Amino acid sequence: MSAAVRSSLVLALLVVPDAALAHPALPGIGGFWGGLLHPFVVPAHALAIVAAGLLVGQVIKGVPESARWNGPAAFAAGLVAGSIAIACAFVPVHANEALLGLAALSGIWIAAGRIPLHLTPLLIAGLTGLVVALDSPPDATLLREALLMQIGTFCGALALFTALQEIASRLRRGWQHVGVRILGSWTAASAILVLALRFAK
Amino acid sequence: MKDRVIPIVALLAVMPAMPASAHTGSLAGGFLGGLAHPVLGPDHVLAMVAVGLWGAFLGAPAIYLLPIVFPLVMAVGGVMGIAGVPLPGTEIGIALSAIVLGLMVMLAAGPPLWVATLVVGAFAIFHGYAHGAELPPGADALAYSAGFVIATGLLHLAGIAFGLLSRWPTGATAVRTAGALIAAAGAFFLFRLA
Repeated sequence: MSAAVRSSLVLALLVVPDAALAHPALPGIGGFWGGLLHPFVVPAHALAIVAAGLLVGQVIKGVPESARWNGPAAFAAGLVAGSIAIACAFVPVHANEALLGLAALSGIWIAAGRIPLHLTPLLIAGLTGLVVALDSPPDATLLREALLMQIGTFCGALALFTALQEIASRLRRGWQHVGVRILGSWTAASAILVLALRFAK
Repeated sequence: MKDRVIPIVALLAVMPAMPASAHTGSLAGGFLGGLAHPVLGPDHVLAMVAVGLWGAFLGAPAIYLLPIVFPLVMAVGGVMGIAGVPLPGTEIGIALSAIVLGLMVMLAAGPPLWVATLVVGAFAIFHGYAHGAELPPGADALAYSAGFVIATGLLHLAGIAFGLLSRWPTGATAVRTAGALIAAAGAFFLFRLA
């Protein structure tokens, strides 16, 4: 890594301290593991990733094996794009609210049981990945630590998304579909209420 | 059917525990606070259970459509409550929901699905409005909201589980009696408001 790139990364991390402190840090856990757990411990992130995973999982039932990776690929592309934007000192505004909006949208589609065009869930997956990364600036000042956190966040978020997608796509029984739709309804309702609360303030 | 309902309850009870258990400190408090909120209001509890009982009486697709529709419409009511949109007679609407839904169960009423959905959705507005107006601002609002949405859903599922007894003659009597009791309790809540 060149000195210029290093300097840019460090500068980027110093420019976004407010965003970095947006979430409570995990006490005593930093680096790769802190980043890995980040998508699981920030409620808006977990909600949006779970919703996007379930949504894509409902769509890919019965598609060829090769197409199963389109969802994780779109999500990973979003994560990478978001990480690059953070490294370029981009400071997102209302990223957390955007995640709640995506969770609400995904939840409504899951609850409706009528999935929109095949490409729409992939777009939702990509956008969710992008905003998760934008809303996860590494809470570290050392470059190595920050990179490890970003890699950890990438791995944790992608693992959660892929696991949910695979679970949802393998559900065959009627009651399992109903369970997923109810979960979508709960996700959307929670996200809508918090969004309303945020914008009412 | 029973052996299908138990896995549904287990799945829905376990899956939300993932983000919930991930919270620490006030976040856990927020989730538990939200979880306890609907359970501590007897008018809410009875109406939610009645939705489940009625859904079980109506059978598929109402048995799952009503618990899907209710939280979404409840969220709309919640947004109205948060935004401060005036909704007169909220408490009366909640008490009426227990009366009407209890009567539906007691009479084993089987209207068209759209009518049942409309009735349940209309009352969901009042319940959501009350919840939304009491939603605490702060970082743990999402945990709180998830808690009370899940608690509401679990009350529906409890109603559905009990309502499935209506497949047997004695069970049907028990379920209709429960409906009558819910309607009577709703009348009591309404009387108390007067």
